[in-house]
Amino acid sequence: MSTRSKTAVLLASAGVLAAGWQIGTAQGQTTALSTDTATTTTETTTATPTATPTTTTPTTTAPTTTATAETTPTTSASASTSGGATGTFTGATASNRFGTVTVTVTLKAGSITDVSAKATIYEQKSARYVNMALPTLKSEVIAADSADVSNVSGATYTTSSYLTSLQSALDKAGR
Amino acid sequence: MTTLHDRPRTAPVAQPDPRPSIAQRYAAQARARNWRADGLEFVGWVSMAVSVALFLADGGAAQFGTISDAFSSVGILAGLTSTNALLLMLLLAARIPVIDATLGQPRATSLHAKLGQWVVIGLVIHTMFLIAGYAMSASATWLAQFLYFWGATADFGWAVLGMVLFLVISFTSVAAARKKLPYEVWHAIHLASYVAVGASIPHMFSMSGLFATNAAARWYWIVLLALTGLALLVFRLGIPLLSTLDSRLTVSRVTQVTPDVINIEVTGRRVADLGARAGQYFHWRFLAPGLWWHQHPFSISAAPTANTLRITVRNLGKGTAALMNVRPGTLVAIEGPYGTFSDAARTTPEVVMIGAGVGIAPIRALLEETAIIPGRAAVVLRASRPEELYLLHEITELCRRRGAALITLVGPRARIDLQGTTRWVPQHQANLSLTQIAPYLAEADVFVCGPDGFTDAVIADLKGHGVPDSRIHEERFVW
Amino acid sequence: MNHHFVSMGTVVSLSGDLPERATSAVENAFADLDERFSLYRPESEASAIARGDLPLTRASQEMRGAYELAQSWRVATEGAFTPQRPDGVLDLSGVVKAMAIERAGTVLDEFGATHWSVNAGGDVLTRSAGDAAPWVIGIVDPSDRDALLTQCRLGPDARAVATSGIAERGEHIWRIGADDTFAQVSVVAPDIITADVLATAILAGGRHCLELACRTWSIEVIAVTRSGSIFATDAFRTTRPATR
Repeated sequence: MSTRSKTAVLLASAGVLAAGWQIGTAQGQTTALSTDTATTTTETTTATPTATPTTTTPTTTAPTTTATAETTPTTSASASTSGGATGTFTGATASNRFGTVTVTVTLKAGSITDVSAKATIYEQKSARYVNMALPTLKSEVIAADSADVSNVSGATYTTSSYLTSLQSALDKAGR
Repeated sequence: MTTLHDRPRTAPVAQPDPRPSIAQRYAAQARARNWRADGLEFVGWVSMAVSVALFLADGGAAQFGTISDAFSSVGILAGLTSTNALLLMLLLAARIPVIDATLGQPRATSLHAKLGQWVVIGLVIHTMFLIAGYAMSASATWLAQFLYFWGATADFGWAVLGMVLFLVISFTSVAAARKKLPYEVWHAIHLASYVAVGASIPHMFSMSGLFATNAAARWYWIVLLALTGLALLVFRLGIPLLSTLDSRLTVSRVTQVTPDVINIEVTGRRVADLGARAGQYFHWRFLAPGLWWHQHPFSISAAPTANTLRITVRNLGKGTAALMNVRPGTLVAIEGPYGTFSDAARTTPEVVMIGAGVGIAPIRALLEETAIIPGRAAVVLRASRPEELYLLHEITELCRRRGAALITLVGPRARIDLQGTTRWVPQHQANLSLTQIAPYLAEADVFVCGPDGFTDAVIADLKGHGVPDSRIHEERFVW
Repeated sequence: MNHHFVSMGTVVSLSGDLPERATSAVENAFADLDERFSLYRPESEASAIARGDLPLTRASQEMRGAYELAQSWRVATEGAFTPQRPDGVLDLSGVVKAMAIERAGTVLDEFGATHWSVNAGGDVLTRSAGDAAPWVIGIVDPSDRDALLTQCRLGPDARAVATSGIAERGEHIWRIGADDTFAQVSVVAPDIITADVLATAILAGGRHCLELACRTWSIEVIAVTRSGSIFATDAFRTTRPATR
């Protein structure tokens, strides 16, 4: 191959690679604020500290935080410091190789007060891939975290065996 | 015994010097061929870059953050580039006319083999690293992850089969192994590469995040696979079939040249439409009992006429032995024409042709068609015994008519010369140098055709005289 | 917010944002179905049919509807789930509890609740509001009822989980043939009836039924055998599944 064509190959390849890189990094920016959740390796990404289910109660009556009517859920939270956006914004769903992640941001007067990420695990499976129940070691089973559990499912308890069940403990605690 | 046959004694009648126009024509032809070669190599390399770029466009650059991600990404990249290289290999073997005319069969084959080595390495990396990456992210062993995939979908099992087949094919294609295997066995194993490719395709689409989520990448690979498959169908099956059916070639005459060499003339219609150039070859299959299951590559030994092609066949045992008794009227199936051993490969006005054994045949054809400047062309024929100078009468007549010098070198080989290199010249002429025969050697196109050992020795000799690669044209056949 | 009450021989727990009068409406829904279908009440319609006093052809629309539902599930599970007891008595309790839970859910939706869970004796149906944390349901360890084997998260595409087991009520699931290797089966499904029926069917039908269910329905399953071996689908495993 002559030097002329070697140069052509180098230039063209560099151009192609640069274009690919550009597209790749541009896509990563559309889901603002979600960079580290998108690369997580566990299927079930959990929310960052603040939110617990109890904070949802204020929103049952009327979403108090969506003050400005025109703030429809945007894909990039343009929280300008001057105006001070307020509301709950749900970002575009980002796909990574393990599933989809949707990030929701709550803003108050321009500052982020809460960020949560929800991973949808049970999305539509491709026709080819059958989710079979496979022999699993105890160590491979996803561990339970009692802090998050709100209900317990087991073989049906009777009214008497209920009293000593985990569910009754939860019911007493008001979870 | 060395014989220097007729040198043209009389100068030709005063005519305009043909050299400049011939030089110009061949220079233009060479330039065009170089552009095409560059273009093909450009496409090949850039396609590799595209396969990597698609990975980047899917956000691949960011997937090296953790060790397990990095391993998975390396595995994915190895898979993508190997698949691309594999498709290039298939295209090189598809006998696409532009590739055949530009690169020629020897170069295309060596490229194919080189790519093959890289593909196997890439596929092994793909398997090892990708499974390792997934295993690491789940804190499982490599084997546990492999078994998980094995149980999860049948596509993975097929991909494993494809991988095993590729490994078998590559082991049997290593030079050492290939020498031990009979050609038919080696070829049959090699054909299994189609099965291997087919078995690997499902997992590419059902188990890959890149193909599934990124619509553009998915379609790119689907189109690439489809085009390659189409090229194989058209150029390896379709066109040869059409040529055979359209030309309706049958054996018209069989002439004995020597006790173990025959000329087979094959006649049909629209032979000119086949586009054969003198010196090119076809794959021939004679449809008669006992002959039809052998396919042979033979060069035509004369320029094609409006309805006839001629080949010269020597009895070397196995298939060619049976061919000695082929009868007129036998139908012939062909694939071709292939090869760059023709006037289309010329780059300069001077030419030297060196042949041995039945390799003399394409040279005899070339002599009829290629441009020759009287006094600036030479034909060298090498044989162990005088009987092996096949078609000598025809060649002598052509050389006389066209003004080329003819040198025959007969006698057992001089094994080692004074410098210790293997020589191809006869014993008693151990120190004969080609420049004595053709002083213009360094500026000439040199065509070499003969058995492997002979061809290798001649080419080494030529390079020693400073003949550049671009002016050495060789033809080799699998015996 | 939390509320629980007794019905159908077990305890029903409600959780989430429960509108004021919704809880009593839910209790009524359960009571209505219990009244009609309970085999433990001699005056119920089901008991009358079991005694032979009332032919099925002259039973209420609701009764016949439940029977058809159970029969179609019997066909779909290749007989692993069936409303027929070996002694010939028609026992629709398998679908009735699930029907009650489903009805309870409809009631809550109609009252405008957006985030709730209904847990009847260990079978759970949920509704998640868009911006709230998903419902996390613990699965009891069949060998230790005070411990959790694992957990699952319920979302809009998989709102229910049901568990069938031999632990609490004794051997009460009728088995097919000699295939009785499972001790407990939990099924996550888009709706509670599918979850409940399949959990029952797999427990009774064993490995073959487990495979059939996974192939046919879009579910997640974790099943534990009597000897402690575990069979689980993707969502209950930590080993990475292949991407789609």
